[in-house]
Amino acid sequence: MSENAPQVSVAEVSVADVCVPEASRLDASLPDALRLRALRKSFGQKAQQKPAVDGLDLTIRPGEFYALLGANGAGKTTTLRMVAGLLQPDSGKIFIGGTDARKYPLAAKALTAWLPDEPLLYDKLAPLEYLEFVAGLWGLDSALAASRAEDLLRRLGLWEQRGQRCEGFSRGMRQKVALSGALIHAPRLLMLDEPLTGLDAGAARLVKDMLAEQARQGVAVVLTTHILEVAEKLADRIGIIAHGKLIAEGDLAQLRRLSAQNSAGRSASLEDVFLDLTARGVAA
Amino acid sequence: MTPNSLSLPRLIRHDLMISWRRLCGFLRARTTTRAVIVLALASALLHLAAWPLAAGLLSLEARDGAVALDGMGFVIVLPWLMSQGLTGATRALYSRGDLDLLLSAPLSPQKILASRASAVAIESFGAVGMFLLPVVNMAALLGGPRWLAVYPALAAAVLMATGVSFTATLGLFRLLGPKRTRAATQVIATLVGAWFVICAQIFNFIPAHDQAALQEALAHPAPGSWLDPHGALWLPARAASGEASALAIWSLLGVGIFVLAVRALGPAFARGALIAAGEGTARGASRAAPFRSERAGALRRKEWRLLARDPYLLSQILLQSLYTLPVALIIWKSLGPNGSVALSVAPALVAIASQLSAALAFLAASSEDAGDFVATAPVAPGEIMRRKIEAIGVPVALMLALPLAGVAYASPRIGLITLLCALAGAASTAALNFWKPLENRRGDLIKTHAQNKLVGLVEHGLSICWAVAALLLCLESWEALLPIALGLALLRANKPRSQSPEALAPA
Repeated sequence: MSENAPQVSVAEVSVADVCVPEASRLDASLPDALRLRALRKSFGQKAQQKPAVDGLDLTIRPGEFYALLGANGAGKTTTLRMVAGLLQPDSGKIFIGGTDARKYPLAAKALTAWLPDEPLLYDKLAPLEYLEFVAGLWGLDSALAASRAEDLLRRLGLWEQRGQRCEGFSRGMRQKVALSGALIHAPRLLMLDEPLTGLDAGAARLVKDMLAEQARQGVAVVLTTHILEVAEKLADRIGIIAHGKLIAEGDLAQLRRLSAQNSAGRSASLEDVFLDLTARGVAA
Repeated sequence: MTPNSLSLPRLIRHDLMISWRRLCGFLRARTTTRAVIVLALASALLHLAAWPLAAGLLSLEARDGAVALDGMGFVIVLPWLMSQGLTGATRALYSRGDLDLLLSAPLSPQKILASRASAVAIESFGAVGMFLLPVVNMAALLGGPRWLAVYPALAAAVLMATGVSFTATLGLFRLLGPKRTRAATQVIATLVGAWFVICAQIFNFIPAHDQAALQEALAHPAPGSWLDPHGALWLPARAASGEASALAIWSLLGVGIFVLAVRALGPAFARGALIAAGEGTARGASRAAPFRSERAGALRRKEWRLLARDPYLLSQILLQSLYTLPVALIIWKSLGPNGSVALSVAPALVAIASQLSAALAFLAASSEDAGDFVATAPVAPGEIMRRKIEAIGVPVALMLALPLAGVAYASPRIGLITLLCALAGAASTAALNFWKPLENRRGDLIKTHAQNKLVGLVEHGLSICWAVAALLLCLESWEALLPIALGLALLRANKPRSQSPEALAPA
């Protein structure tokens, strides 16, 4: 990165710059779906500790579809795992729906769903048995859970397989079962790590539609993906993370403005913008 | 066979390489050299330990004759080989590994089965030979080279047992279907394998006058009777004792059965493997049970479902129970004519409770497939742990209720002591498994503690401590305090000192 190149940081994208796609669903009176402040996490021995997440600030509103992009090892999954309560941050604050997740983890978890890149299922359970277990974990009413389970499995095309054990399922089917588990308790914050991996074109479209619908219903959807087209088409806002820091944030137009690709005088794709910003972010 | 396809020796070499790497993993040896050193050391130790045993066998040989001695040996070794063969055949049929690759390659089914069956046979020879052959080597050193005939006799027996095991497994597969066959072969392999332990005890429990009569019948068998060493039944014993013609017939028989099984069963094996691969999708499509998401019940039901569907659980519980029974018989016999059956059963029940609880706790704690997912749920780790303990407590209680009631009916005092010690034993081994969870996959109960042998030893130690304590308490001996103190000390030494900051949930 040259010295004259503009410094790109989260501070450059003010709240006023942020695109508000549909004011009705991004209700300002509601608390932020997710607010991270100065979040840090390092791994390794004390002498050679390497920050995976380095003072991350992030705010996501209810009903917002947020794509978190970054190269491998940038800190995306570590961030999501900390929000999901699977990793203790070294320092910083996590608020989910206004609840301090470090102080009141159970209350925060009640609002959250996390779908990792590798579906976490029980091979010996059938989809319906799995959903019954998940509904129990989130303490749902049986009748409500049963109706949601049927609705989800039908929509995801798994109703016929509801009694079959997951051990024989393809990667895509497992991903769909895991997604139905994430949605059955109607979370307010839905975090997905590479949710489209292993899905065929039809299933990927179905999942994208369902995620967009969740956002329309007021759920904050945060996803990480390497398929930039998904982020480009679905996300209200995109955050680019490198070395555990948010180096750029905004909608596609804002990111284009931040990128050197503007100088080329053409409408750069998200891929061009992402590669340019991460290269400059890393160099910085 | 396809002329240009991989040759059988290369296929067998590939299978053996995979078996070797599995063994290296079991031995926790990162390099081949290290594994060879470990095995060489183990073999040297076994040879040392075999020395006095071989000397004892030579004196028995001098008294009863070589054929009678080898006959007794085969009664023990053949079921052991059958158990190994059944387990190997089931694994070959159900483990995916590289089977999909082989089945999609231009290889004849016979060739695939031949390589798999050969690998199973060599593994069986290694597993049994590891313990048997040091005794044979020492006996050959002390008593002469005739003992070396055991090598080819054992090899023929291994081939025969492998051929019969694949036939039986594929027969069961056809009869029972893919779902039940795995469980059925596991149970049969366990029962057949346990026959080895029971055999070793049978002679001790025969009344003295019957023992003498049996020895007399063995020493002077009636011609043509089943004890006549010239009969067909004694062919393997005569082969092992070095009789050339018997050894030739026995070897031909072993090789013949193996080759016939491989040639005849190749297509059935390939079909079975394909059906077994689709087992998960071939199950019933509907589920009539009501959807109940009440939290405590849902958490317990999930554990019960997973326990009930573990392919190895039933056979392992059966095995542990069967291995414990001879202990009860030994105690009963040692108590003499006035001995109480209730007293002799009490320590066995305590040991079974401890082992059963350990096995279930291992599955619940170490084989949590979706631990990270459970940790994201709004449930306190303590509640998840409580529900897991409840879930494993119920099957333990169900299994022990009837025998415990029997003991209590015979002697309320002994019943109470047994109940308390069984509770203590079950709680101790369950706590150990929850405190020391291992990275594992559900369905690997058979590899319980393969990764941490120390935990396995402590688990057995706790089980023995509470069983001995029960016996001594029943005998009203103050020395019962010693095993109780030792058990508590073991628990204290293994109790985790502090919770890891990352461990937000037990799973």
